[in-house]
Amino acid sequence: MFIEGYKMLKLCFKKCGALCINDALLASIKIVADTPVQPVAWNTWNDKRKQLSFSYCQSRFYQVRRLHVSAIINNLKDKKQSDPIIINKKPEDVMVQSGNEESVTETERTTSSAVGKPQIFKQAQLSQPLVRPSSLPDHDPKRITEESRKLERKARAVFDKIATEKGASKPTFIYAINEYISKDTLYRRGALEFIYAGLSEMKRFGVNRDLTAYKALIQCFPEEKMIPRNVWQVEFMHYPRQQQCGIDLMEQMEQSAVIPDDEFGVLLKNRFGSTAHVTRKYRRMMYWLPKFKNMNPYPVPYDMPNDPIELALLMLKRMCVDEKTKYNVIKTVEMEDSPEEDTFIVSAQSPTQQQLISQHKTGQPLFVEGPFPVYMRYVGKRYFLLRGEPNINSLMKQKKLEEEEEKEENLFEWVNFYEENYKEIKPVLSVHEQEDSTILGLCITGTSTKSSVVAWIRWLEKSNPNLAQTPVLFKLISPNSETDVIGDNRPFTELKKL
Amino acid sequence: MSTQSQRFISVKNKKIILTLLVVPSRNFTISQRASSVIIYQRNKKGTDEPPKKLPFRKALIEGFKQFGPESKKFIQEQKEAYAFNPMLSAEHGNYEVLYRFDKKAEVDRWIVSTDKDYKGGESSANFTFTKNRTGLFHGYLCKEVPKDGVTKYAGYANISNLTPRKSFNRETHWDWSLYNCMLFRVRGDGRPYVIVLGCKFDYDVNWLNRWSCPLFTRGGPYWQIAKIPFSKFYISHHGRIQDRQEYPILSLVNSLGITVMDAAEGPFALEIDSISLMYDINLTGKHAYELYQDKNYEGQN
Repeated sequence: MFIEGYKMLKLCFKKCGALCINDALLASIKIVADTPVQPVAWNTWNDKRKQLSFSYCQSRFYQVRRLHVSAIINNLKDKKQSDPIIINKKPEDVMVQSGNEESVTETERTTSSAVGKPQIFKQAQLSQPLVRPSSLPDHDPKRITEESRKLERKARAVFDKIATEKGASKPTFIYAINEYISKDTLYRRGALEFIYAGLSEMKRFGVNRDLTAYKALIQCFPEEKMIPRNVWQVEFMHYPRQQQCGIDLMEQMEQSAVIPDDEFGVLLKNRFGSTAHVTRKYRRMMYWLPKFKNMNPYPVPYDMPNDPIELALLMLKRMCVDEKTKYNVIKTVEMEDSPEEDTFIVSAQSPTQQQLISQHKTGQPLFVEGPFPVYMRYVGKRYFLLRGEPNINSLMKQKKLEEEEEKEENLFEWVNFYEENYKEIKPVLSVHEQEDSTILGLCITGTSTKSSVVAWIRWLEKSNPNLAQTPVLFKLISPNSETDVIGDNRPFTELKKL
Repeated sequence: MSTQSQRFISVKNKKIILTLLVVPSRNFTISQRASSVIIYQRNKKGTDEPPKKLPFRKALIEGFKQFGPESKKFIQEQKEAYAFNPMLSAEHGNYEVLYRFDKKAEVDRWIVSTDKDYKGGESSANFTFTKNRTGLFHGYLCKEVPKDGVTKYAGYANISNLTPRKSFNRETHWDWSLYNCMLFRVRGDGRPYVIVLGCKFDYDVNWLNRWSCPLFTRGGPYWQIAKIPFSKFYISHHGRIQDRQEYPILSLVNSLGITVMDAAEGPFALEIDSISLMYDINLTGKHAYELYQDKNYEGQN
């Protein structure tokens, strides 16, 4: 009976697009439960068909798909390693297509971020590819027709084919676009779907931070056809889907820190005119983004280097206030005969800091703290520091004299140069002597482990002989614990109260 | 809607009628398109929740309880207002410390919110009092987008002060009009943070106006003092930067927040010692961004 009902429903939905058989399955269970055992009359089916109209089905389709995906992920979360994982993937999933490789990487990405331990589920995903989300924007499902779904599949197939055949890179991405343009010379049918597909494929091809790729993509739209001819067309968003697509493209540019140039503007103007919503967005971007680009007083390079040593050097140079700081790159293999691990250490220490170490009393301990996070654009690293207790006496003296200077009573009491006692002169402190700690050196290591930091201290002992005689305490934070502040200024604040 | 449904409900279900009358008709006409624009704001946060209201009897009891202490506060305020000697002008270098986080009570005057609170992500954050007698804004910024089909981006955490209030729980605001820049003594992790200012506006069109400016940190163990002139703050509405810029209305400021929402996923930490206001004669009172009207931005042409 169930199968019969299902067949009937399938027939029903063939007429209205057959988009959401998944949904129809759900509905059929309900309907079959309600109806008598005898085969159902066509009329009643017809009524049900009216209820489940095309637009309703389409909007339900998205809900069901979302539920479906989340159910699969929840399923994965609940299963243990030993359990065989069964994903209730129905063959009716209309959106399933494309090669296996791509969908596997997609699933890896989604689950590794959602679940703490991704390696458990890897095997299951290899056998059962997940549904790849559509590249068309989800917020307006009523406007997306079956035709545009078809065109989207076609556009994705172009990218998939070229990625598998020629590899994913910038030239192949441009090649794929040229292939589309050369085929659709006259009407540029499916340009919108092609651009959306291209936008979603950009990360895979590694061109999401490349302006030329965006320029190539916007050229899929036909020239002159979509330029509004009067004020009404301008305000009512002439060719709204195409304009929204252009806006989405520029939003992706914003998100990946790509600033358009004049040439991009000319390309837009030739397609949408100078007054359309897209061009307005372009003008806004051209006004604000170059302003924000140069706002950072501690500048960051546009392209971050791939070499971890170079990156660590850049980060240390940004962190260190002292301009005389010397940076050294040390390889543990070269330094020691039998190193515990093969990594690099980038050390930063200035002559002032070396002097501070030489003045340090050998009875008092020094501390190594870390790892603390540092960021540059989207890259994060962890650094360690060598510090001593704060130089409380001179800090207090400096503070006291500063306060006395500011007092109104002492404003007009001038001290003659010859009468001045040398003990009353404000001590000059280096930038490294802060209230909470005296900073004696910074480092970034390749592995951020304790053994690498110990190697760093051993290396420092060569240039700082005093360090070999002082006890050094390691206060390392485990990665699970909460981040703590640097140093400790309690002794200073307690003295200040007295 | 409510009048129609009243006819069909019998007298027994009086409660249902009442609820139908109370619920505004907007509940029945929620637009399905996420791209549609709604000007009407239900609350000052810009969310779709109705403003919280205590039941009448509870509110009455609470009111009686608070009446004594609140009226004491009121009298104290009046006395202060009488004896208050206001600053009429500021000279170069005059400053006022807004927040110095050297007590736990000062840190508790700030609230933390992340995208997780609104089911828009998985970031977590905390604002704690540290052993250094400073406030530490730390947590984990997660860029993972929730699978609800609507959210596009995720990953932000924010701290902001509690709205300043006078006696009888009346909202009030600060007057910063004497000063022209803000000072932050911070120790960050290299990320850019955003300073957000909000004002006390009466009409809902303005409720979501915010002035913001990035606070760049250099990272590392050294303290830095960042000086941000008010002229650098740009106005945005509902998170969208506006074409027509305005100087922040400094006589009406009532909220100050620090947000982290940059590209890097991972733990973040910003140690804040103090936040203060200053008058600097070298800074011009002019807005940093052009205030002229460009017909192209208006879209008429």
